[in-house]
Amino acid sequence: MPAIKKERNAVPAYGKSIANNIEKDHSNDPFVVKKVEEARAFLQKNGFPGQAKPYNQSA
Amino acid sequence: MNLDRYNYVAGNNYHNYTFYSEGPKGRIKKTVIYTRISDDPVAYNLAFGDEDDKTGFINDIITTDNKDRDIVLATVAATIIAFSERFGNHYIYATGNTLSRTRLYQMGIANFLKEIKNDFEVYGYNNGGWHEFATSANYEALLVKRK
Repeated sequence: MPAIKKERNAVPAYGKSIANNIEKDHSNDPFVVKKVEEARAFLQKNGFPGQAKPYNQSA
Repeated sequence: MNLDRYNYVAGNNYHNYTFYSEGPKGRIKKTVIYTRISDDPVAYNLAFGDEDDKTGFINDIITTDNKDRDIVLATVAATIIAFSERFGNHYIYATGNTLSRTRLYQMGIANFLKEIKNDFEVYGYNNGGWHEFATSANYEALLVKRK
């Protein structure tokens, strides 16, 4: 009877990574939520490189 | 970049990446999460920290001190490349939970600035504006964008 070689259910992706078919959802992770809120606020206030600030804060 | 780094696993949507830090403190699960925070220009937040095995939540307050900081930071940089290859060369925003943690990230970038600048535009925010990253400055926040 021939031996059956079992392989992990993984798909090669970029570089040294592999894609995992079992994914944990971090969208409600308190740390991630806090970081995202802070990042949005920071960029809305301060803009991006090469951009004028979104609004005049000198008043 | 061709620096030592850990192998990582990408989630199905390629917004989450996990890898294990290995050192004197043991094997510690690290997670990198990209979340879209701006549409024009497109930008993503990079959240990075230790993943608690029990709760599954991320924590970047813990100081692991697993003596592999440069390998860990090189691995995070590798996830930025993988993410950018899939979603485009957009801004990636990163900041630490504290100024000292942001400073730690900054030191990691400074150590490999020459290599990093081959692949990335790097900006730091201080004194009320964004500036091209310089090793001598302290920043409140960092933006990187693959060239």
